[in-house]
Amino acid sequence: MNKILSVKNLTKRYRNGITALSNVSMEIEHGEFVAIIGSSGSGKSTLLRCINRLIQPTEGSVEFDGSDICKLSSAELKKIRRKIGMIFQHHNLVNSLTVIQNVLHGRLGYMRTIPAVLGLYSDSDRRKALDLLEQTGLNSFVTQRAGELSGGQQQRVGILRALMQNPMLMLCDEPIASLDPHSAKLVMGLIKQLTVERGITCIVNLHQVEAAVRYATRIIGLDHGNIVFDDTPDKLTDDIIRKIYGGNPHDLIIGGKMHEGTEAQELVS
Amino acid sequence: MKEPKLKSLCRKFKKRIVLLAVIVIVGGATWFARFNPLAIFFEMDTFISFFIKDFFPPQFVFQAENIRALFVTVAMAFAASMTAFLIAGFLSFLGSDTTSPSLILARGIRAVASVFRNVPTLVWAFILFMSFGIGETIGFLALLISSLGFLTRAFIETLDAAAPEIREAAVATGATYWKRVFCFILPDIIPGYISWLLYNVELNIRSSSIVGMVGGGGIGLVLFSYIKMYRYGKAAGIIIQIALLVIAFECVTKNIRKRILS
Ligand SMILES: Nc1ncnc2c1ncn2[C@@H]1O[C@H](COP(=O)(O)OP(=O)(O)O)[C@@H](O)[C@H]1O
Ligand SMILES: [Mg+2]
Repeated sequence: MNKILSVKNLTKRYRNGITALSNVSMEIEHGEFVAIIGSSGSGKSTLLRCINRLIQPTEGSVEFDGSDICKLSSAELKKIRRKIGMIFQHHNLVNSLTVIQNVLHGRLGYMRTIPAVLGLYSDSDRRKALDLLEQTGLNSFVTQRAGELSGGQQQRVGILRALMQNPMLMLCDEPIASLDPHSAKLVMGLIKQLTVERGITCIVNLHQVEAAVRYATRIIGLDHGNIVFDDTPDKLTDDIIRKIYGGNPHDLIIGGKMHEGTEAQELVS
Repeated sequence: MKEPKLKSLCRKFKKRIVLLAVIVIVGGATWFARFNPLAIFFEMDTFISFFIKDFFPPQFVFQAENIRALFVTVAMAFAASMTAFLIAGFLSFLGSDTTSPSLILARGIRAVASVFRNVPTLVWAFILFMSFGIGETIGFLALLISSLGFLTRAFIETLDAAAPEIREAAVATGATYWKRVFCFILPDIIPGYISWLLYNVELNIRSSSIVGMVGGGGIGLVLFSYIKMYRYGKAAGIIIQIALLVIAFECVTKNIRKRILS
């Protein structure tokens, strides 16, 4: 009734024949903070990207705020995407631009083409960006190049860029996977705080079970493209964790660090 | 079972096959060109005496005309690079599969750019010289054609390799094509483009004097006329000037490139 997102029978087969998602269904309500956990290759990124159609699903439907994402024209899709903020593992900032320019990019979807390409942001947008930067302790980096910041700082800029979109839903793809424990805590805390304050629904892909248990109001476990768990964090037992991670103890012990290595290798090869 | 065996056998002999091929090709080419590699050693003394007697001492002629020719050579290189930069910058967006409106157009642009790049500048100069005669315009056009090929290919590669993550972030904000290009992709690739431009200037300064020799004007033409008149001392002076010019530019552009890319 009060749901913001409804995914039905979602299947994604890549052209190389790999089935990344098979028949995934989930309903998410306004204000939920959902963590999706699962080992590397379980389909977390694919699921997240099907929601804003960065990846075209093979079958199934995604209903967001009353419209079927898979049936929208490309112009309608662009409009809807403004309402869905996204945060990435590698921040995905434009390193050669300043911090504030990167934050203001969140407004581009709302602007007319000419002012947008000339970077003529409105005063209220600038004000808002500066306020957010101050709130998150980045006010001394406003005119610094994004590439010169530390990983944790860059991720905070990424969060602010997404927030500038005034999103209803926030998609976070492993936002802390390449951060040190201290920055990871800071970034997760910030995502939680900023989205709760604004009543933004949040879906976060995570490797780390601890982080999921700590921050999420609901946890979804993915294994080989299937949902194998969907409940509150307190229902997540060791047995279930073992099931989610396919009985591979390495995933549990070494957690994020090991995955980072394997993912980096996948990217290189 | 058979295939892997064959493969490993191939791998084993690969080095030897390559070595054999190199020997055959070098030997064949030498025989075909009737060039005796040992001639270098046999005729070393004539070569050295020519070098010492005729080229030394180098004479420097500081005539207004020569200095102007030097400027023309530099100007040709710069003008060709800058013009090519603008045109190639535009063409690269049509030529990269990641940004092009049409994949067929993209393939066409890449094919033409390859031809422009892979035919040596000297050959372009010669073709132009035969159809239009001597002049600085010929030198400029020859440099422009090869720069255009070179930069278009380099830019397309830069664009193809530009962080796909940034493109993804741009799409996720709901930005349209032009906003994505101007606000995300361009700022991401411009340092790379400028670095290629500087490298192209470096290349053009070098080939600008050579193109001059076959009719492109500038210092190359002056050098060629000295050689034709057997004024080897003066020619040597010009060669030294060209070398200094090339080295100076290389130092400057290398420095700037290092600073841009860091
Ligand atoms: N672009 C792609 N083309 C082909 N296969 C892909 C692609 N992206 C992901 N996959 C495959 O789909 C599966 C799920 O990947 P992904 O969604 O990235 O998982 P996760 O984010 O949980 O690590 C993996 O087996 C992966 O190799
Ligand atoms: Mg992933």
